[in-house]
Amino acid sequence: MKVRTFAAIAGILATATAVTAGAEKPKVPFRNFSALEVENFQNPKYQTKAPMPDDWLPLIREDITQRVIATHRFQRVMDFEDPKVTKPDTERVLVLRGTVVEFTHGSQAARFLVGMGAGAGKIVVNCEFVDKATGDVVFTRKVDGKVIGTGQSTEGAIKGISKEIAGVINSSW
Amino acid sequence: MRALIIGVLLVLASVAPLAAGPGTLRPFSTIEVMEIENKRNAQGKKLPDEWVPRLREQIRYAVGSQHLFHRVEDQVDAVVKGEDTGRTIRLQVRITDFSGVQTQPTIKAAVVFLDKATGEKILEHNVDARLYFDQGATTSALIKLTNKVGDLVKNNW
Repeated sequence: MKVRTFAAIAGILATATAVTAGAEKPKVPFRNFSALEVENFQNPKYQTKAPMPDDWLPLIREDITQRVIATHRFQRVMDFEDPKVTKPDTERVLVLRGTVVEFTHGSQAARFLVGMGAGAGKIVVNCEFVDKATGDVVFTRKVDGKVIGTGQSTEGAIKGISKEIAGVINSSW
Repeated sequence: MRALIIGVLLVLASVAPLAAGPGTLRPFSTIEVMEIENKRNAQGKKLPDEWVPRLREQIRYAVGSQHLFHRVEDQVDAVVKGEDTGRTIRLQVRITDFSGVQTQPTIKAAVVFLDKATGEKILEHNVDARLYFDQGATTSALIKLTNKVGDLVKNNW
């Protein structure tokens, strides 16, 4: 009886894992694309708890670009051609778009003086990976970056976003 | 061996005018700020292009607020006394590295001053704007870079 119950639980867990893993996969593996273009994210007004400065948008774009370049997955990322990746005969471009859906500026002073998560800053972005040629959305993912450490500016949350996106690209390859 | 020593001396002699010091920039009464080159380095790093006009404006301010030149581009500085030599120096900045968003971000740049009339390189210096401790934001690194360019002008006046 115990063995049967254990087998049933294991089976349910395996199915759930497979379903979750399936949901996490893009429609087309990213390896089918040879180039990545990162657009400035949308930063809608009055929809986030606090306004994220617009001049962070190019910084986010650039930080993501640099993180993705460092993965050496794509032959071209924005205007950078990676000499470590073979150039294909035909380029197929994946476009990364995103919308900032949550922004909490937090407080650097609280992070420094109180700690333990007080004054945390956070950015949450809904990302879309789009096939540039067809316009098809290949993959969507919500990513976030947080800053809780003492002495760090809220801008540090950008690093979390770009790291997560680089991770998404690696796991979707 | 002698040829080697002579070669080294010649190299040092050619570098000497760029080693600079007080008085290097004093013959110039106008500064044109400037060309900023922001191309990706071998690791694919550069500043966001949208930040370049802002950097340019900050450097203009860092140089102009010292009241050393009669003119900073088309802006006449009425505070500056002394002879207007009519000579113009051009400031070029080439971004060589940007760490991206980090706890302590870094921006590196090669700064070159050229005599506008002759194209001669008057001063060349690598500037490293690295932040430490609680200075976390990239904007702070940008300010540090501009301050260092301002200091470069002041130290060579």
